[in-house]
Amino acid sequence: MRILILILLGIVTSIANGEHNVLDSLLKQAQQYRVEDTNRASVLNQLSIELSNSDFEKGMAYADSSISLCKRINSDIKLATAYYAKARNLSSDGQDSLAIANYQIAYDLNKKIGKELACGTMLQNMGISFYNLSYYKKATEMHTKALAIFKKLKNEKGTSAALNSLGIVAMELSDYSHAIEYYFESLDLAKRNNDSVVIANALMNIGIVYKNLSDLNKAITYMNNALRIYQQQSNDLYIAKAFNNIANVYGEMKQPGKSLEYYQKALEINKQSDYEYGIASNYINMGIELRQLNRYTEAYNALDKAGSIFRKIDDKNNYGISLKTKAALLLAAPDSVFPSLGISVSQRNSVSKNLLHEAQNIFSETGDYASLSDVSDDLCNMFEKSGDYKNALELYKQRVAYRDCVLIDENKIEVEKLEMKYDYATREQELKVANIQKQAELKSEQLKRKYTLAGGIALMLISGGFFVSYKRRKDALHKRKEAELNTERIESELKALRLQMNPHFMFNSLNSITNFIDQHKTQTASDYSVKFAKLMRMVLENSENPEVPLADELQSTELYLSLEAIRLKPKLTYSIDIESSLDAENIMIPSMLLQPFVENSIIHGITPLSDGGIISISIRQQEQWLYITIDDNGAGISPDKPALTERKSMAIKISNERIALFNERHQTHASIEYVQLNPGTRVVIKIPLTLQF
Amino acid sequence: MIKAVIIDDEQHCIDRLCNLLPEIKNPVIQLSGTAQTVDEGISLISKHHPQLVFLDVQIADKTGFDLLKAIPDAQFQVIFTTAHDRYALQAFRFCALDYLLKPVDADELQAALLKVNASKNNSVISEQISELLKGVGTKPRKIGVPTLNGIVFVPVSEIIRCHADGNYTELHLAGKKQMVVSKTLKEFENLLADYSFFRVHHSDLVNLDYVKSYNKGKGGYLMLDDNSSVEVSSRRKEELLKKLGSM
Repeated sequence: MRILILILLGIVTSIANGEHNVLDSLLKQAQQYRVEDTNRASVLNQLSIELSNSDFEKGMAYADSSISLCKRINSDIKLATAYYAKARNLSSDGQDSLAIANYQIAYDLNKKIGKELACGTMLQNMGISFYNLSYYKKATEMHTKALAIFKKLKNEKGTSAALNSLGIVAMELSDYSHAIEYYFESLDLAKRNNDSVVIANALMNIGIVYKNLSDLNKAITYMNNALRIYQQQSNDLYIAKAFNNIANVYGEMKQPGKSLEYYQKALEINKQSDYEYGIASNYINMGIELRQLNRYTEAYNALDKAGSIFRKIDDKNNYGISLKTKAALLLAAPDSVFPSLGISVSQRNSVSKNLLHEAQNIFSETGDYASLSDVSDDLCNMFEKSGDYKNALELYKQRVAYRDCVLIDENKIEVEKLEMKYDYATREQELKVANIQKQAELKSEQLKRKYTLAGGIALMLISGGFFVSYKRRKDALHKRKEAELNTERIESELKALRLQMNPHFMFNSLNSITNFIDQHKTQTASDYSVKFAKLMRMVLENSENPEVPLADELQSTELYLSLEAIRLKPKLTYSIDIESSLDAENIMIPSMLLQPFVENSIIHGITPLSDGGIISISIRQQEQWLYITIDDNGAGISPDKPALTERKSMAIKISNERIALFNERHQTHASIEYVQLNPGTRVVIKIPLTLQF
Repeated sequence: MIKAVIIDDEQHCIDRLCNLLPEIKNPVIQLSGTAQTVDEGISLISKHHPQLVFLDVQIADKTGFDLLKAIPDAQFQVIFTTAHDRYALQAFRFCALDYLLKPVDADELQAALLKVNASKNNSVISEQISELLKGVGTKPRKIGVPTLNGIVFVPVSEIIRCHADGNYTELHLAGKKQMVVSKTLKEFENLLADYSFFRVHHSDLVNLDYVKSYNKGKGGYLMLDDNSSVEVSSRRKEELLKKLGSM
């Protein structure tokens, strides 16, 4: 079990390359070894954990199947690992709240079976997820607990990971004195154990703290020390990161030449290892330095290269930043530069405007209000200069609005930070490294940093996790907001769809009644109409509500089946089977969910059979999901008939739409799956288990 | 044998019942006549003194309620028949009066007639009808509750909470009274939907007018005026607080 060391080790790509073979062999094992025992669970768990770095959706699926396997074979040990694996994947997907819940389950299980080290690992990872959610107090609490366990067990790897994380949280809170303390402790520990990787990382982080404290000479010294170790280990990616960071500090020192030199070195390495994110970051930083040196053409080209790579790897935010920086450069550049850029001077404003507009679109997509506000500011200035006051005012207003959004976002984080600071203050720890005055200076320095791109990029590089998690949180926040806005629309669309089901239903039944009358089966017609009236009443009532108790839905399905049984007598038999532990009165499901699928099974499965067939509906729970399975032993798929998925009635199309909207509304992954049976067809509807009480 | 009349403005509805009734063996129904307007119905009843009236709700431009108002000391039982009239159904349920939905189901008809045969207490019938008439078009004050000794009318405002007990429901009333009713909690929840009742839990429906305090917790719990405490399901907490806040 690897401990997830966040941030410092932004080496996801290098791991992926190195471990391709591991992944392949695991996949092979998973395919070949199918005995339901702890060995298979181990393989599934490892696979899931490996995948959490690259393909978290697959990783989650493996974790899920491992969880159900472990429950079947009653292995708490493997089950704990499976939950851990699931949490890792959830965290990669940005679903940190859910990740925490799963870590918690894993923690409880490990506690139960007395696996203390694993408990520590869970706490450590929970801390990281809390950090991603900006719950710094909780994060610190978890890391501190984890640290205590690791120390007690004399587990050095864990101890340095926990110290490292504590340092990172402290750094985020601008509490540099504590950050540096943690890093030094980690450094001491690593030195005692001769763990050169951790030594180098600690040195690098200490360097970053000094950079943030504006003690730039010290920063360079520490970073160089780290660099030397990375070089001894020939760890290219880290060497590149170190070069990048050193370049960044030189930039701060107003030594653009030196800075460029180091960026160039970083770039060469990143190019060798094809690390695109690194390459793009180097280019964008170089662009900024080149502009300082008034080398506009080179600067513009560097930014251009950065932009196209970010665009290629779908890093939207950084792509936006490259556009915005390009626009700023064009607006500031002297006229003489333009011919070499292939842009005529007269186009200066229009090209810049387009760049800014594109950036604006990107940032509103990613929900980065801070950047949006900046872009609006740039546009506003541009319009003002060109005398277009109307547009300038409009943009000024936008800017203010975005600013407010940023403030709301930041408020929560600020409160957390204050709370943490209070906690730190009450601890009786003396500042050892930096003095209080420096701290005060730092606050304003930090604010500046926020808007200084160069600083931002450097930090991002060394602390890939910082940026990724921040962006992820932003994205998630944005998605949630959008979902809220959409709720009303979705509700009304859902209602409209539910209502569309009614006439469809009615006419089908009326058709049957007509058939009976035509065949002079008056008694059957009479029985049928009475049932039909009942069903109609139920459908009308249920379709008023977005969700109904499962019991009601099953009752109307049963009634529908009994109607069809009358019509097809004696061809159709049916059964409805619900897992005894489920309380159908308390489980809520979207109303009118089953009927279209049952109908499809009858029309395409049972009706063509000469001897009749069986429809079996079964309801099962697995984890937090409800599985509704509709089986028929009917005609299934054959060459002369349209493929299974194509025989979709109007009602099924509506149902698919409803599920899609349902997912949008509840941010979930309900699904409908078709499976070919021999003979027959199975439809599996998977929806989240929702209880009324 | 039970003497009955049918009052309905639609001939085919009358025909349906006329076809079904001879099939019923217990109790045997003797049909004394049918009517298609309220006025005809009134004279039909005064002429034959039936024990049972099948009464449609909407009869041309009048209602079955108009007919009942015109006969103040009704000595007959009523089974309402209606196709789809949500408000009327709610009123019937409230007074524990029987009704049949059209088209009439033979089994349901049989069940309703068995009940007619069993209850012969005329004073309860007139109370049911008078409560029904009071309640039509307004929010009824009392709810008819079927008990072992017949139907008892309980003021809604005296119900503190309803507690589920399988297919039965315990009513906890003001003055430390208690009743056990053979209705599900869900039925009570539906009946009392327009009042200040709230389902706080799988097994408890609470009259929010009797809430003394709310104690925080995962779902938390409510303290009621009768000093009982009722657990709140964590899924209901948010909505409960919203309701309590708006009161």
